[in-house]
Amino acid sequence: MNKLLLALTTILLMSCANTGLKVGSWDVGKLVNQGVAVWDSQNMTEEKEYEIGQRLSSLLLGVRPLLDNNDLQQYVNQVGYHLASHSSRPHLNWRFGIIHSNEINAFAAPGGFVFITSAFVLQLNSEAELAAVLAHEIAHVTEQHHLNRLQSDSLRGALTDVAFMSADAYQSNTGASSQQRQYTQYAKALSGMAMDLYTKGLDRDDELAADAKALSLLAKAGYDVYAMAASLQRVDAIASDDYALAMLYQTHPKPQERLALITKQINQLENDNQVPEGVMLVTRYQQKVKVP
Amino acid sequence: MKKTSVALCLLLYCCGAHAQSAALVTQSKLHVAPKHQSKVITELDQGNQVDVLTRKRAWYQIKPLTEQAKGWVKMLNVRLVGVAKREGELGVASVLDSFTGRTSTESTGIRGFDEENFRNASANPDAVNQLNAFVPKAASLNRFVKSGQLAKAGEHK
Repeated sequence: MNKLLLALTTILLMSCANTGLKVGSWDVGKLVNQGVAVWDSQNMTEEKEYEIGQRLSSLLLGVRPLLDNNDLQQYVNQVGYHLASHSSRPHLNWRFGIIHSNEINAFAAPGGFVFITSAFVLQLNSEAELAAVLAHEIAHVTEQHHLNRLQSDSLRGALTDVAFMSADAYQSNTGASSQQRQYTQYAKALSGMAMDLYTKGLDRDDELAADAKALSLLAKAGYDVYAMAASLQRVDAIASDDYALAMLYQTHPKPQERLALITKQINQLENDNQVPEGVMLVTRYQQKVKVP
Repeated sequence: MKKTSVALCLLLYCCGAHAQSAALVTQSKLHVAPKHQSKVITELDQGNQVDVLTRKRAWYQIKPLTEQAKGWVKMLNVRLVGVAKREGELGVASVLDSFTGRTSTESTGIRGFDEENFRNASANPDAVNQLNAFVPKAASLNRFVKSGQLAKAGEHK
């Protein structure tokens, strides 16, 4: 059985590998060859940023699938695109998606990928609250938090090792089994990166900075800024040992800490008379999400 | 008073609103309106259990269990209490495809975004490509922004 599987995998890889290592429509070989250059910040382009985001997103969606509800997916994209249009990088190829999961969480990947879980969507009560969650993830993308984290030495080392080995494989043209080995190593490095990013989370400072940016973005987009606090209160309402929150709490500061800082920021805005009257859009949200 | 109550109930019904359990985290003034300057009905103790009815900006309209009257308190004086809403449970609409009548055979299960599941995950590039189909067209986005009375790009409120 194992021999058959190996043979099939080899055939599959060979058939995809006319120009090098390929996974579906991606030229994996091309990316790993660029491995060394990619992490040099002077060589980081938006195109490469997007490629990295695609690969990380592909792993996220390998853990749990997209929610099978086109209407709701389109709604989240409308909210997301509206927010992105007010962000500092409105021209990115923004991609928003609802992941079908019973965990309350949201994710971002470089280049414009933003995900929210179906459990989180169920928990929220208004479009402004949804916007608050998406705005936080959008901020991670515009500030390149994940990218900066990937550029740290240890993770870069993992990817560049694979890049060197793949370059060798190319040049020496050693045949199918070697290509398979290279692909496996690349895939492992990538999945290691994804695991590190999404199970350890970003720095506390990055998370709090994203909250601050999200607040401004909400205001600019015309949403009620207090929805940011409301969305955190909804998460905070749930028992902290509920499994739905386990990974969120592993990767983010606790809601109370985030609330304290957001309050400070809002108070400052209030003192300067800079808190516009924004919309909550409870009915529109409930029509989309709650009412069958 | 009765007419107001009936009207309020209908309003709540129409908006699909429902009371949310909560408790006060600090001693709080109960106001008649969501404004600092408005008349104070009474002062409530820390720990007082309340039902949260609705929110306006930084204020929650609440109904304290110990009071007859409804009133407004600052939202951060309140800690919401509840449980995670789970798909398939009573009173929670399914977020699965409700238009074709299809029910997903894929259960949400226990599998989540932990180390083990990342280690075992296979890349899913097809799903990433699917995201392209959800990108809104300009006209549809404009309608969305307009009907929500949101701020147009380049226009800051």
